[in-house]
Amino acid sequence: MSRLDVDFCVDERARWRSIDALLLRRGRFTGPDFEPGEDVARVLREHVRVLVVGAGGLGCELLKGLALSGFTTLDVIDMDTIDVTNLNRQFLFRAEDVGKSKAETAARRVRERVRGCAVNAHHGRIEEKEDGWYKQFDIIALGLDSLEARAYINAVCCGFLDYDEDGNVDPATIKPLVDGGTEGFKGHARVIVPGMTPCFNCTMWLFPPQTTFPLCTLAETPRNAAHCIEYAKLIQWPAERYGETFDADVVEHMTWVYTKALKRAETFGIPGVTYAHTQGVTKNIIPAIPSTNAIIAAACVIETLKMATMCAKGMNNYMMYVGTDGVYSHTVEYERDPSCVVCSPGIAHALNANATLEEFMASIVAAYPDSLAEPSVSFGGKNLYLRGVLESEFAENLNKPMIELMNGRKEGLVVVNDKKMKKTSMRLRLSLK
Amino acid sequence: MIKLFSVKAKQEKEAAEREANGGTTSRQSSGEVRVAKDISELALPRTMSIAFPNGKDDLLNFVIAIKPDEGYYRGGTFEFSFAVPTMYPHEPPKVRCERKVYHPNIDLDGNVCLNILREDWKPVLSISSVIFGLSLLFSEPNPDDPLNKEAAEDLARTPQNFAMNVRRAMQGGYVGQHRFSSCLR
Amino acid sequence: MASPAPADARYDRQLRLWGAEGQRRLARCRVLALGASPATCETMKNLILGGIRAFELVDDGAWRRGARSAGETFELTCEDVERGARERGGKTMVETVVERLAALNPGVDGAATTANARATANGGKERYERYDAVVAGGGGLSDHDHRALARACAESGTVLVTTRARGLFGEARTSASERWATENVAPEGSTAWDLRLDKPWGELGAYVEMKTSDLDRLDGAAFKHVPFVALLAHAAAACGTRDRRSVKDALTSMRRGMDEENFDEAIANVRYAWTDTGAVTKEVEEIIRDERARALTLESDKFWFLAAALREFVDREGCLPLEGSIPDMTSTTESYVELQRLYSDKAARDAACVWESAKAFARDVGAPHPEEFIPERDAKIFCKNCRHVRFVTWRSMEDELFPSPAAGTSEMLAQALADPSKAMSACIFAGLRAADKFTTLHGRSPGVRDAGDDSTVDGDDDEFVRRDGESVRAFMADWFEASEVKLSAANDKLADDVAYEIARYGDSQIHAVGAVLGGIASQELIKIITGQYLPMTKPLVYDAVSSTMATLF
Repeated sequence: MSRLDVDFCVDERARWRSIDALLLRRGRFTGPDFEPGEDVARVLREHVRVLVVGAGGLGCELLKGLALSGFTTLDVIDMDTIDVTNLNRQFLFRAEDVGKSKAETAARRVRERVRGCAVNAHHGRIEEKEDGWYKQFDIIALGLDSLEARAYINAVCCGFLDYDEDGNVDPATIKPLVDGGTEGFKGHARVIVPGMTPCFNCTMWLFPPQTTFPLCTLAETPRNAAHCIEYAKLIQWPAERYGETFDADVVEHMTWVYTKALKRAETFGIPGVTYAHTQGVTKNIIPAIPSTNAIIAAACVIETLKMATMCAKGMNNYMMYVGTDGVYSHTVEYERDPSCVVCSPGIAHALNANATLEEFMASIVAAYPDSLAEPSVSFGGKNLYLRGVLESEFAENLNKPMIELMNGRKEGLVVVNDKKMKKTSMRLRLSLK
Repeated sequence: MIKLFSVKAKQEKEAAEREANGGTTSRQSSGEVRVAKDISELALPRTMSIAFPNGKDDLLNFVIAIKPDEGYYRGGTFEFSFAVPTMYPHEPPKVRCERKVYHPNIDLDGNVCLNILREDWKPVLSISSVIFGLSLLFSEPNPDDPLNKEAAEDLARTPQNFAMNVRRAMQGGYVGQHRFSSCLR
Repeated sequence: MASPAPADARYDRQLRLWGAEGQRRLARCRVLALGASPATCETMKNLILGGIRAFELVDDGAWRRGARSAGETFELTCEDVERGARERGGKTMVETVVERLAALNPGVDGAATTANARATANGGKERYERYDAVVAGGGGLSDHDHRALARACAESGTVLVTTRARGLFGEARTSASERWATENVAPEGSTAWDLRLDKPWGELGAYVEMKTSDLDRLDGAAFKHVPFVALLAHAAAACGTRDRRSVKDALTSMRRGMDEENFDEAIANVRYAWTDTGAVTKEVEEIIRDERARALTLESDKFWFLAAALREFVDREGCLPLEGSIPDMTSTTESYVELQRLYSDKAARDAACVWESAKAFARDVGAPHPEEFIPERDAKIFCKNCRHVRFVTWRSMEDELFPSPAAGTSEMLAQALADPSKAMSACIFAGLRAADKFTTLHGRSPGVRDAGDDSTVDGDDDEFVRRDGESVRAFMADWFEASEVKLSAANDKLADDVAYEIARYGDSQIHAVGAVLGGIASQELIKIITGQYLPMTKPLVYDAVSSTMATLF
């Protein structure tokens, strides 16, 4: 007979014993300066805030994994609503959730399941949040399918970096990123410590550009179903439904493109136009399965846990995974691009506090005669001086003091371009003294 | 790798951040950085001009006008709108011809068939490469990979007739059943 | 209108990988799961989301000791555990887990059995015959239990997937009766098209002739749209040699200018002028000459009939059946569609030949309905993929757990230890065996003071962890010695560290580690069940410390 205990409460130490073994005990493979004990556990459970970007296939897994790793303050941001095609892998959603906010639904489900874990939902676009908003998080975990969104968050986080006079990054300004991505049976997990390991932009070449077809092929010599579908979307839609924006989520729009593509294909004797293929081409659908998402997201969760606690050394710095022929995985250490326009520290350059833009340009040309002759200059998202076709429009800036052009700031990152530098821009950490 | 978190460091950091002036630090996307470089290094021949409808602070949207001084299209002005995506130069700029033109490689809706705008785009290419490609379309229209099939066949079979039709279109007349707007200035 | 039915919409993103037939096979699959560990629950979660037919979960977990389960598995909450411990006659723990899992997909039936996973694992093959697959891991299952399970599953023809995790270390393994992988089996990134340009068959030859006979008289546009396949075959025939340089020169001399993309494509693909893409590969040769493709009986796997039929085709034609697809290439629509049809028609004819002889073989052994015994679709898929079809076999779990020179596994272990990218994995594998032995011997895991599930971890126990680590290390040494493998000095140190680390972890079941293992387990099971892609046939070691996965043996 089983004994019942009317006062039974889950003991927190018993609940977290599996994680505690990593936090309370010494190890042989721990990260730098790992000091086991209650302090580490407290940092994890009381202080570290993690932002999960994306509440899709990876995002759902990330939230679950982080909550069950002992993180207690999670935020999740996603602009999407739940679609029926998400249900094969986005396990926090049910059929009755279709149409609801992904971020809000995912946050609620995790809160319901994991006691003591606060998950704050943000239903909206990542660009709508101010950069400062991202500062409140200690680690940002990315579960995205878009390169553009990754590049955006990457740029925000790299923008927080401060360097000292020797070009060493100020550790307090580092906002680490953990990123996952999947495509069918393939995926990657990576760790980005801006200022220390390569950022997205350093390794942009990892992402092959999307394949596109020549317009004349679509128009005059279509040869396969995708050509017919692209033609219907790119050429026929704007011509025949002028002023309307094609929306891949509107069934009537998709059906229209499908019908046009099918008709075109039949005219040419081209096989293979189906509704599913039309969706695949127009929405650039990437096949997605629960297993790959689970593997990649869990690998990201473990890196996040290690980053927050140093209970084991971290991944260095990119893991690729292929599951089509057995299981193949490989971890590589990519290197930073020293001239990366997003994360490179730039060269320290000092100038007297009253110097004008013109004087600044003269001083950098004098300092770097091999790279610069007729520099163009921008600061903080604004072009201060551009040579060439727009030069006259910037003439008024020449005699303005740099401090004024830098909005009163005495330090900042200035981007300099010059014809003499063929492919790169120069980044200068300017200080006005 | 460095130790990123300790309770003390964390608390100090939070305090420091509360003091710091929050809000948005404005910053350029890598696309904006690159397009600024492209624009500052752009050398336009006298047959071309550039305009920024939103002013000098929006370099992502501009219009290139081409006024060919030779060939079939001599004397015309052809405007192309450029929309540079934030992922530039990972992605190519989007280019449309703003005026209806009778041309084998430009359709009547302004779509332009130029390889480097789509399938052959590479991040090492620049705005300058695209503009050069566009000017080539007017000096050497290509009848072999048409986007406007009638114009292409016209050019391939009867170049003189094609020349006449181009003039007619540039003057704002009809070619076949399509009315063109004048682009002679 | 062919818009997808709502039932399919749920699976749209995976149908794009394994198609309707793969999904149908998955939808017939019944799975038995032993032990509600994080890895097993995660495996089941993924399989249920994927759309299997039914599952049964066996576990005897008690509510009072459920605190750690609430910290390790997403299917159990603290509230569940408290309610379960306070109330009489409510749901059992395993029932709650099954209810949560089943809610992931309304199309899947779930059953809960409160029973000891170890007892079930040792229960004999009858228990597994109703199932297509068994998923085991956790529930206190030892290496010994896994072996018993592997034997029983082999006898009943059930697929088995096992996982094991200790802290940041883990392993996953599949085993199944030998089987065929016939679909989506082309190697990753393979771009070799089956063009047959070195020996064009009749219709292709005629096509080439038709497209190239008047090459000089074609107008500019037509000239630039002659498919490269025709240009290449024409150039190769014209220069009468397979020499790379001469074929290239012949192509170059045919050009009119520099902007002919079809010529660029021909030059980029010049190797097809002499590559025999219909050649019988060594792997295919082995399969079609296999004794099992000769001694056919009604009990033979039907793919042996196709292998026998393929042998007849190869013996008659001297090449493999045509694959049937071509790459996109610069061409007019008409020329391309014509070429495409040429290839797909020939492929259909070749596949029909193979199907006919496969049916004849089936008839010979007395199959009453050969066309049902060997469905046409199977013959087509088999022919389309025949360059890469594989007959997949697994080594016995015994030979991995106890490597020996006789089985060849000692040497493989030694190789892994000598490979810097695998040495750590080999040590972890040994460490897991040693920890298993420790647990069996002492009735508790190394690094765990109290075998109870509600025990907690103490921080001030360096000495205790060190001692248990040494004990694990000694068992590792025994295991390496029994395997007749010697450790280098560097690996000796690595083994020390791994042993200590295993004692540090104790019996920790980290959810995310379970999610990685469960992800792999479910994915491998899906590949085996659908007969698509190539399943892993070797044990995989996962090291979450450096985020690496490696297969051994």
